[in-house]
Amino acid sequence: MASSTSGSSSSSKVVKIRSSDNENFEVEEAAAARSETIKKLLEDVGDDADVIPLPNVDAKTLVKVMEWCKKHMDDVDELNKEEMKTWDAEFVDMDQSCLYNVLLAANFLNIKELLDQLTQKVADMIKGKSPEEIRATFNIKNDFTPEEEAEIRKQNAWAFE
Amino acid sequence: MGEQCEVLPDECWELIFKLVEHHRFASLSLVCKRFLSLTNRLVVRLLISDSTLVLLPQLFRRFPRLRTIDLSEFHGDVDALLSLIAKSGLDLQSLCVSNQKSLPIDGLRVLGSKMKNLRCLNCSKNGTLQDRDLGLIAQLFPHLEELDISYPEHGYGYSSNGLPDWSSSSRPISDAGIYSLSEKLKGLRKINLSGNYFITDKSLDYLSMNCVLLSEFFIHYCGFITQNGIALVLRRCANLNSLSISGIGLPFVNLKACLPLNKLILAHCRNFTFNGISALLCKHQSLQYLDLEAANFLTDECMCELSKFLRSLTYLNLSMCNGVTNSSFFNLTINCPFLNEVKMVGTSLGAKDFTTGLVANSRVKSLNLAQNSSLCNDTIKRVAFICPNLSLLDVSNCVNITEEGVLKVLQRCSQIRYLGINHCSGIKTLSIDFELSKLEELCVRGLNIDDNGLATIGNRCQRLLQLDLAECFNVTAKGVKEVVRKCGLLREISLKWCNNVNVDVVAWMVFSRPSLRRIVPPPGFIPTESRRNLFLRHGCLICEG
Repeated sequence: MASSTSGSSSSSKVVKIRSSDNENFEVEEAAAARSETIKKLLEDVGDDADVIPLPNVDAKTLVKVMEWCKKHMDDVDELNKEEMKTWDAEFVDMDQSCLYNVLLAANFLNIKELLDQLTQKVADMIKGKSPEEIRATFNIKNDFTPEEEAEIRKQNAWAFE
Repeated sequence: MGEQCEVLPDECWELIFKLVEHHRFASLSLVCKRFLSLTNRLVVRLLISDSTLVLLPQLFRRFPRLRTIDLSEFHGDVDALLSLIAKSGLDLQSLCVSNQKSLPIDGLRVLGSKMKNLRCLNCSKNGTLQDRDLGLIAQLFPHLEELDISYPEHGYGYSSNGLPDWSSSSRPISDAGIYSLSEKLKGLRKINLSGNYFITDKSLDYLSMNCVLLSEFFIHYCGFITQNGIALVLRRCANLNSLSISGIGLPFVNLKACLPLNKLILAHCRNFTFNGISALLCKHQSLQYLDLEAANFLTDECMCELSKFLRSLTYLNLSMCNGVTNSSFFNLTINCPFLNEVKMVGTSLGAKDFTTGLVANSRVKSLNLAQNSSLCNDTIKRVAFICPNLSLLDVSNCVNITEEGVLKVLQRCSQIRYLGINHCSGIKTLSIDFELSKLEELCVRGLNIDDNGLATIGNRCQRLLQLDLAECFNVTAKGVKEVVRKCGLLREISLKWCNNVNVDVVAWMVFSRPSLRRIVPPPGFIPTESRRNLFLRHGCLICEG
């Protein structure tokens, strides 16, 4: 059983969430509510909420996502913006399978800002690369026949001006 | 290793691909079938040039969600092409038939009968555009919301008394044409009237009266339109969010209500004062885009006052304002937290010392500071310190900048994608000793660099997409080969006026660098038609430049 420690600032309300592999987490409501999905569920069930099940997110991924939510719980003042940017850049610097899982979770949990950061990270991995380099980066198999590939190459020459 | 990317659903890949520039879809679509189908669905705009024609109508089927087609670079039979587009079954919303000798009336008729949803039509730079064409456009596309009829290119004949001879050519657009347009296109939101020399304030009277939704006006080079017409627009168009005028002048209108104005262009306008612009800006502090090109009365003190009202600004153009210097620039980067793009071409930047401390601004991405003859290394280094996230920098024709200044900027601003240092005669060489992995466009027209300089560029800027070497008289084919060999993604290269480059290098480039799409050849290169076509079949267009 894992549980997050509450922030130093207050005795704020705590909600319980459960991962797909049945681990329970206690998270400050303000952090959990960064997820539109959880926020909506909380509004629907009101104070009767016992544990909110998240059948699409495993514990390892949920720990990562909640780490981000806790950090982004409060509004950031101008002074800490740069520090936050550095933190965010380090946060998205994770191995690829983890990146996919957190991205999927951010999509399911509807956490727009996190989703933006993760999609930008993947987009940056694409930029300036040849098809071969993109395949190598994302471990993708080329499923075109040489003829198909030649035809697309021919069309591409003038399709994206 | 499994196919990890398959865990991500299409909607996630779509979000990712939307963050990738359009031209990179060429690479993405060749990765695998899934990426091909995903990117095909995201393509909404197609530019049809003469080279694209052979790929039609396959491309219409490949990109089922095309909404915008641009024919401005097409020189063939436009009417036939429009008929082909009409048959495509696409749900087009926007069409550009700019740059044509005459309005392709027959093609538009066919298209109009099939594509009733067209909202946006661009007929700018059309020869012989006249009043009756406007009537036809309004009839064919009754739901138009955006119309561009700017810069018609009438070939006027002149009779012996020096007046235009209407009988030998078509009559230009008049107030009567605009009147019938305003009667029929009630849903019009955006209109570009620029370069229609014979329309008067009456046209603005009709439009502001009949088209109540109008929110964007472009009125450049309309000699008979006066401040009175602009005053009508300001008073009547309650939805006005963008006004772009030049050479007219801003009327002083005491507006009762605030307009939803977010874009204001007053380029080369006379007859307006600091008090007038100050009153307008004070009332419209949500303005995001401001262009005050050649507003000669502006000084650093004025800009300091105005910048207080510009807290929402993302774009600012102060080009040709020779009263503004360093302190205007630095004040703006402090007072305008959302500022993204600044154009200060031909100002007095660099002429004065600094009065404020330097504060970094991470938002500013694009700076065009060309033709600032006082701009020196000291100032440009401070600019780089303030704007570490620059993606575009143009300091062309800034003759006081040397290699030292440019290298310092490149070190500080590692995200630079575009660098323009054309005709910077102070730059003698470029001995870059660090990687420029983000640089994609480099313009070094008229620079003194030699083959060694090109070799350095090839070694340090391997992600280059475009390289402009026009007027670089010291480079030879050896250096060009070196840089083309190293830059594996290069799409365009210009060797215009490069007298010392052997013309044989053109064929060499076409066959050894398949990514090349456009080459401006060195002087003396005269391709035969068959040669030109051979190069085109290899995906490479030879242009005049």
